[in-house]
Amino acid sequence: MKNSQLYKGSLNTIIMKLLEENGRMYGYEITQKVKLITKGELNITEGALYPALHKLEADGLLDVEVERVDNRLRKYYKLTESGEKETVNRLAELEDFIKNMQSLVTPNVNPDLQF
Amino acid sequence: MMLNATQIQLIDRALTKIGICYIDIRLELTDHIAAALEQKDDRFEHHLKGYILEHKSALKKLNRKFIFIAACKAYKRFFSNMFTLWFVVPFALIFMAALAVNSSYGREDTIMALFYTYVAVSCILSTPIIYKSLRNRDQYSFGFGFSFINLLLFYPSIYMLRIEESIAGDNVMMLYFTAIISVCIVMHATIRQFDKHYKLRYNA
Repeated sequence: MKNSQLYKGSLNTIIMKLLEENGRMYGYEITQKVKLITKGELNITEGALYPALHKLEADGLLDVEVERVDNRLRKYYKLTESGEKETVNRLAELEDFIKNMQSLVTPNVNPDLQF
Repeated sequence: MMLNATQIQLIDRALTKIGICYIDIRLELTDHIAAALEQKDDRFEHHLKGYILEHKSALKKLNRKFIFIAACKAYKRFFSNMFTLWFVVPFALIFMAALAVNSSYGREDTIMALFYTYVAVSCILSTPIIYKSLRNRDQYSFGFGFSFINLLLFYPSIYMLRIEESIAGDNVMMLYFTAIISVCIVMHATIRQFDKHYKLRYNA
């Protein structure tokens, strides 16, 4: 993952947003999806992704399903009910943050027009 | 390239070799590495060696993070179990038994009986965990860490025996030993809960 606190701070929200859109996903799939969406700009390493997934699971925001796929067991993650509610809150918080940052970084641009 | 069962086992063994012992973590990383290697050409062993060499320190660091998260989760469950019947029932039963023994045999015999019960319970419950961790068998997640709770309780127990004469009330000593025996039972119950949860997840 890009060595930036900005990205690191948003990792959980990125994961939750992807799971909200795709239903359930496994670790490698999440890394590839992020890479694809950001056109290779953002590369989430396993060192950042899996602890975040385990932490979200421990907090009760994610649920786990295990399936046998191609000779191995695969762990799928999906949002729990409280995870879904939390995703909405975190996305709203992130949007506010981006709006505020936009106002601070480029004060002349009307932030409302960006969204 | 689709990986076969033997190649998956090789990835699993490589991860075990660098110290990733918990099944809950290893299975996930095995799948991640397998998915990454499937995107490459047929030279499986060459790519596996390359991957492990390149990511060895990152994987070890990741393993430590996993263990920390698993430990937090386990201790959280352990402390929440302290307020359930797993603690209350053994506590009540042991304390009532201690009161009965105390009225028949006196304070000294009761305290020694409680101390030996604690040592026996502690040894019986901790041995399988330590054995599993030494043999690297069926370690789903953080379990070994719990065996340290017994060890941590051992020193204050010896200390309590040493200062026993200066403690006036019989109940204080009995309550102390009753509490630590109950803590050992809660520890064991928590480990069983985790094992059951992971067995259901991976062996279902």
